[in-house]
Amino acid sequence: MASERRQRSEEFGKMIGNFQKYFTKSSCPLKQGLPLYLSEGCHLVLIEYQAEGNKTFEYEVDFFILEDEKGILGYLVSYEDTENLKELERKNMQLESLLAEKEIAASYVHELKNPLFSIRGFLQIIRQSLSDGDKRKEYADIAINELDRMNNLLNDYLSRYRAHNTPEIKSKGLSVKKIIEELIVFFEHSLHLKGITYKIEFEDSDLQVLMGKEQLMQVLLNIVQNSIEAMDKGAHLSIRAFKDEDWVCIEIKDEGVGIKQSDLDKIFTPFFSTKENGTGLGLYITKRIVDSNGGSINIKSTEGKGTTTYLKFPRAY
Amino acid sequence: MKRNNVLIVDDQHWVKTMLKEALSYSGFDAHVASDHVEAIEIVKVEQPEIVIIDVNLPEIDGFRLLSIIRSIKPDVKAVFISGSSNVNVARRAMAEGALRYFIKPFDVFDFISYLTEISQLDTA
Repeated sequence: MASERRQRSEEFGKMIGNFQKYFTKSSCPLKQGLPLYLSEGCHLVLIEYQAEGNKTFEYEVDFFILEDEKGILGYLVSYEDTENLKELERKNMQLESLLAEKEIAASYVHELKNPLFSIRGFLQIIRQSLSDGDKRKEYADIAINELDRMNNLLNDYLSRYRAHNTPEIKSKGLSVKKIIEELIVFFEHSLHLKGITYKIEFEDSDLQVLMGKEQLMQVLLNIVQNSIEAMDKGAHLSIRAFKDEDWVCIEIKDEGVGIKQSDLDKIFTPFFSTKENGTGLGLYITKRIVDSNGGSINIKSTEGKGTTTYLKFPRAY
Repeated sequence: MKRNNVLIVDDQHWVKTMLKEALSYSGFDAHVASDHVEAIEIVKVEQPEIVIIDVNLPEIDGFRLLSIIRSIKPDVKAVFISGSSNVNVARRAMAEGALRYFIKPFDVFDFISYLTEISQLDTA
C-alpha cells in the first residue's frame, strides 16, 4: 500500500534524524538496549524500530563515513525496507518448493516403471505357458497392451516435465558459469547477513553441461543452502568449476559444522535429516537428479571443519 | 550342453525374480544379486558370461559396479537396464562399454533373444 510505504519512509526519516549524533569515527552503540554497532567503513545494519502503536519496522542500512585528511566530512546513509527483501526470500522459497514438488512427482512416476516392468514380464511368462486358442492367452495380451498404454501415459507425463528440464538436442548445452552466477545472486543476501565470505572460480568460462536449467539450479541450490545453514559468521564458501576429460566438475567447499561420520552414509536416504525442520528430501532429490543425468555426487566431511561436495556431469560441447 | 551363465543385478526384488524366471525358462543359468557386494561375490564364484546391471543401485551405481566386475572378469559382456530414458544416462552406459541399454519396461522375450544372440558371439 502506497500510504503505508509513505508512512514507513516518514518513520525512518525521524529515526535517521536521531541517529546523526551517534555516527562517529569509532564503533559505538546505536541506541541503548539495541545490540547494534556502527564502525568505520561500509555497513549493512538491520534495524528494528518500535514505532507508535507498537509496530515494528525493519530497514537495512548501508552506512558510509566520508572523510579526508582534515577529518569527517559527513555520512552517507542508504536504506532499504526489509519487506522487499523478505518478499524476495518468500518468492525464492516458493520457487524452491515448486521445483522440489515437480522433482518428487517425477520420482514417483519414475519409480512406477519397476513394478510395471515386473508385472509385464510375469504376464509374458504366464502367456508363454498357455496354448494357442486358450482364452486366457488373449486376456494376457489385453493386460500387456493395457500396461503398455499405462507406460505411454507415464512417458507422456515425464516428457512434459522434461520439456522444461532438458535442453533441446539442437541446443548447445547449459553454461555452468551462468547458472552459478545466477545462483549467487539468489544467496547474496543471506551470505551477507550471515557474514560469510565466498569465492567462485571457473577454470574455463565456457564449461557446458547437457541438462535442464531448473535441474542444475535445484542441485546447486540444495547444496549451497545446506552449506550456508551449516556455517557461522566469518566462514568461507568456495565454489570451483573445472573440466576433467569428458566431465564438468563442480566443487562446493564450506567451513561449516560438518557431518558426523555415522550420518554420512544416510544423507542420500529419503526423509533422513539432521536439521530440526528438514524434510530429508533435499539431498535425496539432488542425488536423483544427478543420477538421472548420468552424473555423480560425492560428499566428504569432517565434523567441526566443513564439508566438500563433488559433482560431476557429462560435458557438452 | 553348457548353459549360458548370466548375472542379474537389480535392487528391485520382483524385477530380478521375474528376469531370473524368464531367463531360466529360456535355458539360461541365471543368478541374481541386489547390490554390489552380492554381485561381486557371484562374479568371483560363477564367472558369468553376461551381466545385466540396473543403473540405479543403492550405494554404488551400476557404472562403477561394472568397472569392478571388469577388474575381476575383463571379458564380461554387459547390458544395462534402467527406468531412465535420459540420453545422458544411455550415452554413459555405452561409453562404459555396455553392449546395449534397455529402458524398463521392455519386452522380456525380445530381451532374451538379444542375450541369446550376444552369448553366441564368441562361440561362433
